[in-house]
Amino acid sequence: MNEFVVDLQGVSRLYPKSHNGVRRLDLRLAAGESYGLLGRNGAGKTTALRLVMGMLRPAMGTVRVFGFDPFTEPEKAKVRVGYLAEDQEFPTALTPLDLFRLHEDLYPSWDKSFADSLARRFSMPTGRRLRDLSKGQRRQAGLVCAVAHRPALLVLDEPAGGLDPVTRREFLEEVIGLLSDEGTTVLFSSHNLQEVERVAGRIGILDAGHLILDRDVAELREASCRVLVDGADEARAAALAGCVRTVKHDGAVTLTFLCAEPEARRRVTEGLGTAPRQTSPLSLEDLFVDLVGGRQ
Amino acid sequence: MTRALLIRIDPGDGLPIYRQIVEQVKAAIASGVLSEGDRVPSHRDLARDLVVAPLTIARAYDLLEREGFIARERGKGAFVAARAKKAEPSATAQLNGRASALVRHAQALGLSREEALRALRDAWQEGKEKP
Repeated sequence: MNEFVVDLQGVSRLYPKSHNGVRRLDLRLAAGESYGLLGRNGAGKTTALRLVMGMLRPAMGTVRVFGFDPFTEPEKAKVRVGYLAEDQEFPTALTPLDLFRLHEDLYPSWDKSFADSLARRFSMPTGRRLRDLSKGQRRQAGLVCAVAHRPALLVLDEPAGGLDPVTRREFLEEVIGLLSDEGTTVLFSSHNLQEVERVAGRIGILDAGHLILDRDVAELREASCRVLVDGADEARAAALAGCVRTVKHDGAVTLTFLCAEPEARRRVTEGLGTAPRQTSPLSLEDLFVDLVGGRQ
Repeated sequence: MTRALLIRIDPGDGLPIYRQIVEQVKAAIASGVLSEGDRVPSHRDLARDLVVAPLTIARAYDLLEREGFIARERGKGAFVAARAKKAEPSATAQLNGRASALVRHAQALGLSREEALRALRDAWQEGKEKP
């Protein structure tokens, strides 16, 4: 039996025309983990999540969810998984209540009172047709459908995209509640780095299909920094161990390091013969931009 | 009774979220907002309140416990520890970073050493006079 809730090994799946997708992806999630998948548009986030959901067949490698292959044995894992797609569309003639009833039939573990309490919390007009609801309200209905059977794994593709700040916060609170109270494993993609830092324990950054970073968020924040060095040679600076990006200014170079500040200071001083004039921590957003920016 | 706490989380801050929580709980203890024996919110409740992953809160509480600021009792929750207010050698070390930041700030403003020390003394006095 596989001990990981999600276990992807050497998984590749590319789209023929765009060449978007994932390449030799290794990704493992233990029970109760909360994992945020980051990347620019087209970096492969949605592909990775659809592979986990068994909606795509990997061209190479193996995908296991609760130890089962979600593509060949979808029924085994699916009852324990909740999913909200990036552009989840339900028939707009249905009401949220209709949707809930459909899901109740599909999932033996559907918790009707949980669904009702979520709908109340979101002040959702459950008797009105989806076509007459706002985008945010339809998104909330989708979330209720994804979580009300109390899944052991929740897969969310850009869950709070396009939601206003209040709705976004309510949405996040529900996800945090599931993490806290149910020990749900959460795998989500997001462009909102602040939200990712709140919700994720670990993050992965996809860049052109490659997982270029897979780290504990707090560790990453403590093991990264920016350093400003006067009169340094940019090429020599870029060659320093752990240096992921350099920016040249008038007479100085800014270096972004994937290591803690004292270590970066030491490497600069020893490698370039000049002590940094200034050092500074990086936000997750700065780090993300430094890692995947400048390339398309 | 559990003592509610105001904690401000800023994901853009220089510190990781668990460190922000640790610093603010320590500040609450130092300023008397939290006193010895007060029960702090459970890590699940705080996770919900702050909308932060429960593992992050657990990590903050672990560090606070290791440094002697809170004590946890099985089944009862976490409390502000008796010795929390005593400065340990590591506590002075922790202040050093902030102190040098303050010095740099003062120098940037063009203040003299005496002026900076006076500001610190005034702030200290103000802090002490708070209930």
